[in-house]
Amino acid sequence: MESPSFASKRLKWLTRFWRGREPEHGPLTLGRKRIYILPTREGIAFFFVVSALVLGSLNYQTSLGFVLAFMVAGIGLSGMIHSHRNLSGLTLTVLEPTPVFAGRKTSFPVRIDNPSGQTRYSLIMRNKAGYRIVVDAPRGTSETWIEVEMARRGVKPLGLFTIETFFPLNLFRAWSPVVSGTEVLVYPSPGAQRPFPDRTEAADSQGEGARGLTGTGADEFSGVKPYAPGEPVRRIHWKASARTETLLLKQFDREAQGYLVFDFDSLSNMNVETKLRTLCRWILDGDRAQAAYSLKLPGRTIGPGSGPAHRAMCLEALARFEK
Amino acid sequence: MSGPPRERLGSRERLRPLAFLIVGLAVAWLPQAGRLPVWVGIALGAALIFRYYLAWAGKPLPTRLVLALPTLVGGYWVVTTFRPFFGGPGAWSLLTIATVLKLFEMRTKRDRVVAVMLGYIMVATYFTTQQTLLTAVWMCALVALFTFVMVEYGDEQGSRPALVNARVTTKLLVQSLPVLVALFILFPRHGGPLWTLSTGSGGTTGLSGQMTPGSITKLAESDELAFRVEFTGVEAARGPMYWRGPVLEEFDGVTWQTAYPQVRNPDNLPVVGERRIEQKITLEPHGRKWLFALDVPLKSDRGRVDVDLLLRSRAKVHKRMSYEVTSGELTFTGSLSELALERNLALPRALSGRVRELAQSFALDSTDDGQTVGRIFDYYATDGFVYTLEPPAYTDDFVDQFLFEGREGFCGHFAASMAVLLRANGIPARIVTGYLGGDFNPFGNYWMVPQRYAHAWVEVWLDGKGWSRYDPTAAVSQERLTRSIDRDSSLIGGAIDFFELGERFPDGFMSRLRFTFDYLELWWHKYVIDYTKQRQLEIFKNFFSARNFIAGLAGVALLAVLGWLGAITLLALWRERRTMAPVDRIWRLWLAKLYRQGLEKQPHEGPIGFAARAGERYPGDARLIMSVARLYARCKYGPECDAELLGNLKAAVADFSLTKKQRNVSGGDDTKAA
Repeated sequence: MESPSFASKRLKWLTRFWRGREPEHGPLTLGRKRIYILPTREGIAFFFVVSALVLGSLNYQTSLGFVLAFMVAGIGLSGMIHSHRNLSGLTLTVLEPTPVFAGRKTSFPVRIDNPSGQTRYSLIMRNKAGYRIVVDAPRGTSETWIEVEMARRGVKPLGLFTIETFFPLNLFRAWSPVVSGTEVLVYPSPGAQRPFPDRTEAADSQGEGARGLTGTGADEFSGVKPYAPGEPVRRIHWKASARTETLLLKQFDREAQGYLVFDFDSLSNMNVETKLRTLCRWILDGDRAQAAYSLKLPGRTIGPGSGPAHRAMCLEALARFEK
Repeated sequence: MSGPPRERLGSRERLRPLAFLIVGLAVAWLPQAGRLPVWVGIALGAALIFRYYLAWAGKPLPTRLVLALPTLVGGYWVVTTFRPFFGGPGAWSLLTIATVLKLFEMRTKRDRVVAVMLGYIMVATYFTTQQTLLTAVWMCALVALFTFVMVEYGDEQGSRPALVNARVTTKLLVQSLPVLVALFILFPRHGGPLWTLSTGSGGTTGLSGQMTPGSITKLAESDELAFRVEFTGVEAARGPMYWRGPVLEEFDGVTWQTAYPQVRNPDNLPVVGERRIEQKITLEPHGRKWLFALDVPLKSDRGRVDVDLLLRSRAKVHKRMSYEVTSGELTFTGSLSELALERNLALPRALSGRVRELAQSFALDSTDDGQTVGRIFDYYATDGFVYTLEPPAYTDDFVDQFLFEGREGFCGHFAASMAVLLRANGIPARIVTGYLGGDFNPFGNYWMVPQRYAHAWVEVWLDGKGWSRYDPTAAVSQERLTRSIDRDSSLIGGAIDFFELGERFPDGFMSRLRFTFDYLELWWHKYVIDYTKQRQLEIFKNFFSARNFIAGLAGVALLAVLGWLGAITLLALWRERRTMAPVDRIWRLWLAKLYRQGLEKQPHEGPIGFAARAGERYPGDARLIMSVARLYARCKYGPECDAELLGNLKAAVADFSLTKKQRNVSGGDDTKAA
């Protein structure tokens, strides 16, 4: 009892009871402390029938009736143990999903490690939003996912979900609530279509931007430049790359002309979220048009640039934007 | 509670569990199918097949409104057919119909469980009539089947192979056995019924308490067992074993039956002889009150010896029962009461003249009743009577026809006609029905008495001696006393063949099987079915006082179940640990040591990260802590983990302890996730 942690452990238990669990990161193992088990409605009905069998056997003094009742009771009880054991010892790891636009669904991959020799059957993952998936987890690692709809932009944790099982008899429900701290990047949902802003800038006005210039593929070929990660793969000049043993990118005329500037402050008469949604729409459209663009947010400018990496960087900035 | 939402089942029903469920319910119902009229049985069977067809064809189940019609019809039929309605058969029929209808109303998971539960109740209702070993086998098969159905239905996606579900079922069954045994032994039994409902009567084969000339012949064709006998005392039966049953005193020319009321004559108390034969008899249910015993029963633990020297139980025997009985010899020195005298001398009005003449011819120049009786007995032995299972059909005046025309008969004919001849001479005589002989079961050292050993003999009242047994059948055929009837040969026709006891029986595979099975049956009855409140008291009376008996037993039963739960959990833990790699097992030991100091490794922490945090809290031991963690990391993740390295780790963990003084260097809650 001299352990300094005794009091704090009890306190932790209490807080957990009152405020729910703290979000957890990383792999977590389902031990006895976090698996709950209660009979289902079917289990309660089962209990009453077994009681009726016992009462009937008492009344009619039929020993075989007792045998039946206690056998059935024993089956129900071992079913309870099997239910609990079906969850016990599993390790869940919630992995980060790819970013998503607000209002869309994203799937958090969940890795289930089952170190025991036995397959865990009919594991159900579900959350309050009504998502539900049933999986079997054989020995080793298996993967499933939890799909959630992200309503708002930002960096959002998966939050509470439940892993439960009714295996094998449907008489008991064993479950474990998990508050996952694993987060997903939620971009603003793209706003309505809107013409690009007029403002463009010359290519050379920013030295750093020259590296990532892009243009439409229809323009005239003007030369090559070294490939940088994130730039469109299909524009690699394979023949030239083979000769020089470095990856070279085709360049086109219009790239020299300039790039688009998507400026937060240039948008007026809207609230912040709408502005972000518009910016998001522009970024997507610009990317689709393979144009070079830069994003200007209060206190931060990204780009100019183009390609998936640039696009991701811009969208992340929108997602994380705080007033 | 946060239970699951009540799910509607998918539109496409799974066939496999449904098929097993239907078969299970049908098998549960079949043994009692005879309780319903044939057309009801056919309708129910057709309903089951139709139910499967619906699932097979993917058709929707009928709505509640449609189901209301058969429900009302069935209910109306039961209420109007069975009276009293709440007796066994009515309630049982209702249960049957409800079970079948439930199959058409399987909308939720719970409906399916309820269907299985109804099946269990159906099984249990059969136990009021039958609790044989075979019944138990049938029950176990059904429990296995129903459990399999539940496991199958528990598999929501229907993706598991049947073999997997069968394996799960087997595991559940095996693991349920300890609970079954513990609860069966320990669950407090109750002495009498809590409530009474008239139940179906079990056991209809056997002596009827009446005798017409052909009635016993029918029994001679039955292979069913009447009872089993163990001789528990020092003395076993000597000579032929006459098992005393109903005593018949009233005769109307065709039928003999028991006379009521019976009046005890206080002046005529018997003198009990010195021989004592103690038996333990296990009686198959026959629906009557009489209990068989070796002639003459003196006293028993379960019944009372009546004036007619028949042992009777208080209630009708509807279930197999065991009783102990002591038999011996009785001598009556007094005389019969007037009522008894009148009864045992009564003759049918239409007794033919030649029967009277024949009867009186035996009494001519005989000195006493004993001599007359002897002459009549000799008459059967010497006058060309034939003992056969297929006597000719005698019409109205059967005594006359039998004695003067047919002269072929079974025990009933001989006994009945002899009693008439005696009574015609003014000698009180009556018929005793019962059994003669038995098959010795060498596996269990007891005697089996089948129905076909049913027999009838004559009791004659002799002054100074009392009721004395005379068996005219034995006079006709001495072999009936010592040998078994070979039923197969005697059924083909003509006279009865006998064979020596022990000559054919214990040899041969079939008879050995029969004896073994019967032995198991007796064992089953003795230790399982007959495990009553009394037996429980005998076993546990030394452990609990009478006042705390039920509470004590219930407590121990509860403890046993909890102990079983604990044992299974421990077993699972031990198995888990065994499958763990040795290096992890050692690591866990070390983590446990730190945990006791209030340091808990968080799931997201690696070994080195955790060691670093631990080192911050115990700076003096930081290097020691880190060295253990490093060693573990090398063992676990390094390329060269050999026995030596593992040994080092083991030793390091074993020797590990924190320096005491440092414990309080850093406060704060380190167990909290970083």
